[in-house]
Amino acid sequence: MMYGLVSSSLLFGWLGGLGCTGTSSNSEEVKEPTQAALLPQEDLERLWVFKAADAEWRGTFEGNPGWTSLFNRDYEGALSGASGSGDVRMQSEFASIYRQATQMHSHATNHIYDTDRQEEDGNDTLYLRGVARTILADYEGANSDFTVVEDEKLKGMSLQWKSVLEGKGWTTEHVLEGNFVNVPPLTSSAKAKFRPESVPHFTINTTVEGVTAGVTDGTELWVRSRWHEAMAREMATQSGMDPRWVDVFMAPWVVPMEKAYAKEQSSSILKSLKDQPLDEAWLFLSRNLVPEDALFLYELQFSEQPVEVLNTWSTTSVLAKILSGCILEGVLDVPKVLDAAGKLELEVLEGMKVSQGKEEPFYPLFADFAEQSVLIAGVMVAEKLGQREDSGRLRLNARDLALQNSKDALFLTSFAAWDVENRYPLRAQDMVHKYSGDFPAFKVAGHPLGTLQIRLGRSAGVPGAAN
Amino acid sequence: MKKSWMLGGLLLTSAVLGTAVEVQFYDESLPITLNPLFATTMVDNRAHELYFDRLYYNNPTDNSLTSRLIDESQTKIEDAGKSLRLTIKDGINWHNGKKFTANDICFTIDAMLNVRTPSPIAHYYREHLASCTVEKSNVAKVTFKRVYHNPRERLKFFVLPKSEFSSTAVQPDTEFANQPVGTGPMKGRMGTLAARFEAHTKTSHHSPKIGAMKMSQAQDPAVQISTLRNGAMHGIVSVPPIYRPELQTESEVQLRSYDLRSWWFIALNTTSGPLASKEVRQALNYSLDRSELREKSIGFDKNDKESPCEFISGPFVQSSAYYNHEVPPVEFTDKRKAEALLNAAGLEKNGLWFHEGKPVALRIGMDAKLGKEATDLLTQIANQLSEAGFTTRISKISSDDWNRKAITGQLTKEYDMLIGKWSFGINEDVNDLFQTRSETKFQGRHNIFNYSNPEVDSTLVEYEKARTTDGAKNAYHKLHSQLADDLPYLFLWKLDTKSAWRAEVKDITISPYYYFTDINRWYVSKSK
Repeated sequence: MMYGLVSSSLLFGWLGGLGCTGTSSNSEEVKEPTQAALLPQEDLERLWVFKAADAEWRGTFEGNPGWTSLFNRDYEGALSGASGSGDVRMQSEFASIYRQATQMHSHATNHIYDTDRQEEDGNDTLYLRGVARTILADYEGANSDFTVVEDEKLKGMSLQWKSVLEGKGWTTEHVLEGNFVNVPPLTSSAKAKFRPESVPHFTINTTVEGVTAGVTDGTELWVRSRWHEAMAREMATQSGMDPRWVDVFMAPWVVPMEKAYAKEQSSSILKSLKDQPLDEAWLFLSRNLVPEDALFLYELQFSEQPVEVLNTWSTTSVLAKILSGCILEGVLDVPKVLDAAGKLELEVLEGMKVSQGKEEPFYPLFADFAEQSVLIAGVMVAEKLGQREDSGRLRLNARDLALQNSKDALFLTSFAAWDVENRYPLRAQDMVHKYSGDFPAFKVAGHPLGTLQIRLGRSAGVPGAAN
Repeated sequence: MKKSWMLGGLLLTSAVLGTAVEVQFYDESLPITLNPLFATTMVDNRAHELYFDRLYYNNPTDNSLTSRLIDESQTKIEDAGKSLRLTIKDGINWHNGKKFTANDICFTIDAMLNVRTPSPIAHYYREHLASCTVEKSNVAKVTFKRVYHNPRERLKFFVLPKSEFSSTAVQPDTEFANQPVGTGPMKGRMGTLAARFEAHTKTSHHSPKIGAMKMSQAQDPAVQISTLRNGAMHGIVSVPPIYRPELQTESEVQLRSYDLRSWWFIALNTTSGPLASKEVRQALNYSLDRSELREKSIGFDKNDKESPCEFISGPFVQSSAYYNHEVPPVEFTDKRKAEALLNAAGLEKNGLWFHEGKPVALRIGMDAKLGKEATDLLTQIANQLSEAGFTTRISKISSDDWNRKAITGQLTKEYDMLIGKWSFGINEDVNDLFQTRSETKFQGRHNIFNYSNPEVDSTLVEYEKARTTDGAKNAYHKLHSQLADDLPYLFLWKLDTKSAWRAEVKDITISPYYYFTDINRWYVSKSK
């Protein structure tokens, strides 16, 4: 049984907690004046987290080393142990995680050589900034950087980005190659791996005579992400799954330079997939609670009218239904989202118990995914509504409230990228360090984060140590 | 069941009790001073964030640089970028009801520029600030020593009221340090057992929803947890790691991350008897079983991927760019190496280790507040050293003594080893900890045992004068390696900080480093 592999400390910690708090206090709380449920029973029963209470439903995933590893948040194990549709899912997870790492690298690089540029930064830095700006869809800025790069080798490296600039964005026609990664072949084996690369990738000249600086190139992260995406599509085809579900899964996590192209494709993809059944491998242990959530979040990414999208999907998508109830005069109300997320978790937990007629120690671990899903979808809605600070508050809550098994590396990587965009690298450095075993190429993103940290720290003008 | 409070919470989402509730919380200790120019502890920094406003600060959520005091729409850059003309927002009052004016901004800057203000914090600002001129009662012109691309980043100091001081030579031991007047969201004073806060509402720039707060000194961890659980307290700033797993599953309490870079150490008295020998210090390093210490005092779980505690081999956390990953941490005891080093240093073993005919006796002190985070750490370290053949004498040092004596280098005669921790925000500058102490140059201010090593000093200068980012990083990598060899400190671990707040305290955002920056948004709901 997969729960035998659940982090024992967590499982037993939960049981211990149950013993300490006692059941009487729970009973008292249940006796509080009742209020209309957040979700009707029929919706509740559609959620994968609710279904996870059912041993038969769970049986599809139990015993599979890939899913077991993912439940235990061992991403390396999840990738190498995945098979079939699970493989498609894990390759998509990795592709998205590396997309966000690419974005993090780009923001850090752009800050280092723009807002936090220093006297030491010479002409070579313009290649790195050009790459970063291209990925961040600042095509004019990138073009003016690339145009003045003097070093012949860097000029050569910048050439492959030119076509993206000319087309004002990335399309599938572009093929970008890394200079430092060893790309494995796209075989049917999910075990193909990248060879570890050494960091820094190369050195650039500084304005200080004879002094060079070590740097990493974000292109490498992009190439890695694209490889996992290609693997996901290949695996999807082999599994008889429509590969366009990969687009749906990845849409919230794509980098700015590919947004226009992704948007262009989105209406036809949405139209085709709307009536197709979704393989439950896309749901299990994911941020989507029902299939329609995936499509709602997909459409949300490309819409200029997020409230309208919420309303349209609120009849079928559980997340849209919950979040549309948190909109007050066109604004997402953070306390309402927090309350709704917590309440959904509770309703799922109670529902699991009632449906099974018993209580299992792992129920809360699954129910926590429900809260996380609402919070993460809330982050996306807040961003679309231009409520950047509110999205940050929801991000912090999602991070703090997640249990070990529902800590989502993809969400946390995107949070880190968001932090770096805000010129705050510390939390991102901690995240990159924590997950460096699962995602070895994070060290590529970690490098400019370190440079940014040092520059901000040395120019902060505030004392260092306190005790 | 986890978070079952939410059901009731929804009933009364908007029911804010405001002034009816005094929010009570434990901090590691009480503040040493409420004068922000003399802050030395994280407790000081957290308290000052309640009593005062910084001229500029970073939004704790999206990091945007902002000000509650300055009307940014009217800020002008002048003198080819060397000056900022700042206009004060309307309606800002001090806690004593007086109007906040440009005089206060310039007074604070003048106080920091006055070399007779013995403030290490002011020393940092002296590097950047040149002068301040009052142009109108609501307009101050701040001039910097040179053009900065981010001048506002140099103005993150707490603003003091001119009316409360007779001179710009501000001194630490005045009544102001106990009963400050600020413009911050809370006013109040420090008592002997607690610091109290009351909402500052008679002003345009703050409207805290919490009416009153009380900061108490952390008690025994079990008492803290129990009073939090039974609702007698609302929060704990730093929850001992050992209690975190069980609190995470509580329905009435939420654990919150406090983004702070903290690492723990044992400072060694490099001028005291056998500890003057590097070999002896290295032997002590190999005499400790950090793995066991961590397990027994922190409650480390080997299966926990999210462990809050990670060994370090130098003066940085592992996620920092300054950390030199080529220097491995020492995790376990290595008796063979320890004995070889002690023998090489001329010590003899006869049951106990002897130096110049006398048994080596180690006087070990620990910042008392650490014992609340890491249970029995002091005893465990003493036990391990006893087992290695040293006699030990242990004592806990009060927070006050730690801040006034230990970190100022005044316990060199009383102790051989001092256990403490340092915390950092974005600036991880460690020069003050290891540089040869010089009061006139403001160097080595936190050099606990007045350690002095010319090679280390030279590396620290290299860092200070580095013209490139890699130059600074390489200098600190070198420093890391030098310190791991010379060992003025035995480096232990970094430890993440987690707070716990009762569920009825809502809309909490904990600011990195400063903690209470967003306190205006916090509120207490009737429901859990």
